[in-house]
Amino acid sequence: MTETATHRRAARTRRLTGTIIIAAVLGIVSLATVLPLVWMVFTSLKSPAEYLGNSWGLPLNPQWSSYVTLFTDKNFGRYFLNSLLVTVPSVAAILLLAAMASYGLVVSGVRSRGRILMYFVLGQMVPVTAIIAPLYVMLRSMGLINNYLGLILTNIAGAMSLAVFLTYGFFRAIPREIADAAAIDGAGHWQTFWRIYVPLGAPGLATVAIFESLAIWNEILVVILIMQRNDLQTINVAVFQAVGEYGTDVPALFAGLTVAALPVIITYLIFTRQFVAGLTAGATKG
Amino acid sequence: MSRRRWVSTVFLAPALLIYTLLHIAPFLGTIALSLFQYNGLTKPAPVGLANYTSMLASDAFWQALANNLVWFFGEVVVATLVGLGLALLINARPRLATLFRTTLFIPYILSWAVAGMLWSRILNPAPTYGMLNAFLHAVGLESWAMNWLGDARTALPSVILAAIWKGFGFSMIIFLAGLQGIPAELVEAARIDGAGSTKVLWHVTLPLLRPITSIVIVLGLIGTFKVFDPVWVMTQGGPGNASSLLAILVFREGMNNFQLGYSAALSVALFVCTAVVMALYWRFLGRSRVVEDD
Amino acid sequence: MERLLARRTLLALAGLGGLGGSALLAGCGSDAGGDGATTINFWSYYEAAARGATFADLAKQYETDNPGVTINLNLAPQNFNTVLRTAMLSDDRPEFLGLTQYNMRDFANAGLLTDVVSVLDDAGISSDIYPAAVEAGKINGTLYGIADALRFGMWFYNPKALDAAGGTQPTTYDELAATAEKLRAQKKYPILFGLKDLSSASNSFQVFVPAFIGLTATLAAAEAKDYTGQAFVDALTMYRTMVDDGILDASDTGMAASDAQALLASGDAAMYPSASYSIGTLVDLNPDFKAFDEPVKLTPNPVATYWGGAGQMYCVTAGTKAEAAARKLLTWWVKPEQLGVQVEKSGLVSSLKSANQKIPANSLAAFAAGNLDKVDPEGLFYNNYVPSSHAEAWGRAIQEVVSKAKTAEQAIETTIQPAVAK
Repeated sequence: MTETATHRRAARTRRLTGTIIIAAVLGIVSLATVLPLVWMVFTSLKSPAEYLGNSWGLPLNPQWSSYVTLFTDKNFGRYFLNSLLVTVPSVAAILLLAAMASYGLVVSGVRSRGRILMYFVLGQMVPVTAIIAPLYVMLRSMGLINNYLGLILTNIAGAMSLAVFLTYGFFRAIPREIADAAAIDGAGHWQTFWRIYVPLGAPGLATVAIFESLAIWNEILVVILIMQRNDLQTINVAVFQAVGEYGTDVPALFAGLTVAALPVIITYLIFTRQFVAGLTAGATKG
Repeated sequence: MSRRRWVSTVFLAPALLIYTLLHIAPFLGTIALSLFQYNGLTKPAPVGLANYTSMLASDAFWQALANNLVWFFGEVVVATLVGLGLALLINARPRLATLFRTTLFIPYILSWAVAGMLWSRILNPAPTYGMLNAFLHAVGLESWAMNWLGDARTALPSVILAAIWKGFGFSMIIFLAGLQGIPAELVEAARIDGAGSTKVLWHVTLPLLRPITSIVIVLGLIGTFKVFDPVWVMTQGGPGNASSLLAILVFREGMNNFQLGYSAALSVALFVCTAVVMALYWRFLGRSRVVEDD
Repeated sequence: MERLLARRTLLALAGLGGLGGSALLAGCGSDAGGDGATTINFWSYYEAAARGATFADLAKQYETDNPGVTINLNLAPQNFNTVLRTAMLSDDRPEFLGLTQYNMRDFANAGLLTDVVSVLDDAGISSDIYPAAVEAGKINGTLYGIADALRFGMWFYNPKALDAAGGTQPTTYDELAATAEKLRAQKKYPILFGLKDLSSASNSFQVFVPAFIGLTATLAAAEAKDYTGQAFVDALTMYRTMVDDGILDASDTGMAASDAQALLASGDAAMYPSASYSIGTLVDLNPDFKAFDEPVKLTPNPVATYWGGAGQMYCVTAGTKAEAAARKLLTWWVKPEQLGVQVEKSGLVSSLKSANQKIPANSLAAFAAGNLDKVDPEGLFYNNYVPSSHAEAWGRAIQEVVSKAKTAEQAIETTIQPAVAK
């Protein structure tokens, strides 16, 4: 009996050692991961003069002036608004169109379904970088450069491939009997779509929503291509493009970066589980 | 039957229209444009395959292609391995690790505008400004302080380092999901048979993770050819062409040098690379997932 | 199939109508001019940080004096060349432009600019403006742009930093190398350009072209799309030599222009060969900046000792609705009262002699103004005369040479020649 007790104690000690090691490793890696961001925030609280003297230590005299000028002088409120004006309609339209297309696929015949699905998936092979020249020429001739609609439509087009694929995956799992029952009760297709498929497919739509929201909010290349006027740029592009204006004022730049990063981080911390599920759905389903 | 076709068409139409008009059609346009020389101001001039021949003869093209491969091995593979390692650690002590898991995923959700500008400053060579070199000077390791983003030898590796920092969270989460899918009984059975932790890892866990690992790696490979943001924000492909990737060349030739036809040819090359990888992926791994019918 | 397509089109239109919400935002992008009001979009490659306040004040003054006119300033968005070209080809093209000479040439040849020679008389500056400023705006005898300034190449230095190395101004290459050695002993950078930025890199070449090549040869090479001549190799090799001799620093390729200027201002770097357009920025950072009395002779027999050129070209876009209004604005903008404001605020050397009388004596701008006639045509800014793709390629080659990735010959062969051959 004592042998079992000894075994158990040894096993517990082994497990404790393991825990300590794991905690230490994870702790160090987490610290290293977060360090650049911490540096970013610290620097944003220093004055430019202090930064020159003390570029990597703690701020001795924290001040918020850099943040204030972001909104008074540097138009950050406008950039933030632009990001919202682009992201919200884009994602709303993507969800609507992907859901409708998925329902269309559910209802369609088997052969055309396969072909149409293939057509959508084909788009994954075409990255945005492969189409910027004609896209630019096309949008310019339609007057959609420097235009919210141009950016929104481009976002929708770029997202359709993955969004339809993911949404269809979710819609397909909804049992046909439910839809058939509704049809017997006299529901038309639009009602079936709106009252059955959309609610039941909501988790899938939420997944797509999170994935696309993040992608569109963080987008750089397409925004640079289409929104070429300063006052129309989204916050992430503004931060990058406006470097000339910050020049030697690193605290001001970092304040800008912090403001650009904060909404996403806060949303993530609140909705962590949904975020993670949404971002990885693309991979596991793809 | 025709009513169903009608309904199906109605529902599919908006998505198909926008997708075709602003995604597929431009791609056909790219292929066409690659046969012309066009600078945006004067009429396009047909030049046959000249853009392709100069592309294949161009040093910058081959350097970019090589850089894309370096990116795959340096960033995708490494980030995947780091993510795997962390996932294994977290999975071993799930309750402890929730906080770590949340923190470790944060860089992934940032925009490259933020991450790239931040890392540009960290890697600035002047010790007065750059966090890394300032730190090295402060601890007496001055000889390690390098011109990270400005030296042709370290430019791409430095961007890759930033990309690993930003990217490992993704594979970590995927592997965590995969690990949670491994039935506990299998691990138990192995332990009862006397296997130590290492053996369990090697003979049970990793083999079961192989499908997920393949997916992550292949997705990474496909994504490699699309990489643009980190390099553009941090080095713009410089110094010279040292850190240029294919997508960088496409953008630069098109939007900075107004060689729209040449840029289109580069785009086609990019597409070919992506298509080859995707085709291989479908062939060996994903075919059944793509076109499943009820 | 056709029936399907026809239905699809109909329904597509309906579907698009469903996106009406975003369509409402479509109007928010482009400028909507009110009835009876005129809007002039004024784009300039001057940076907002440097000139924003000055331009805004001038614009406001004009708006007050001319009710009904609104001026929209757009100062140096990043990727200015790209953005500008997009705009010029849309229906939304800006009416009033501040361009580089090369952009002016591009657009004039594409018929996008109008002839502004009458503005000289209308503004009363025909005898006031330097002939060189007028010549800079002429293409085949037609005047497309009026220069706001003339530039003079100068070697700026931070006195405190240079004093730490003995304080004498070098005049030959060997003296420069000796000074550099003393500066290095003090842990200072002798020269920083900020070569991470492509525009800084290609602008730095303006210092080397007059010493080795000259404008005539540059134009011939641009025409022939062949920069492999020995003079070009020598000019590029000089960068490498300077790195080897400790005058330039390889880490310069990792520093943005703003970093270099900050280090100059703080005295961690000593010298900055550039031109009078940098005066405003430098003086804002540190009022103590000075300039060498003579530029350093990089070679014993330079093609041209002094370099310089025209500043920004003010042009009027052809065929816009507000063209007449833009022309009127130009007539006002180039008067001495207005161009003179920049003399005071930005350390500019104006294209107008009367405005230059406002330059404070003993200032850097005064030094430049007094030496303008020393610039001979061989010393004109090379990148005002070659395509921007050539200038960019040179910038890349310079980065490669300074970071020691390639020799000058290799860089020209692999970076420049392919770029210019297109």
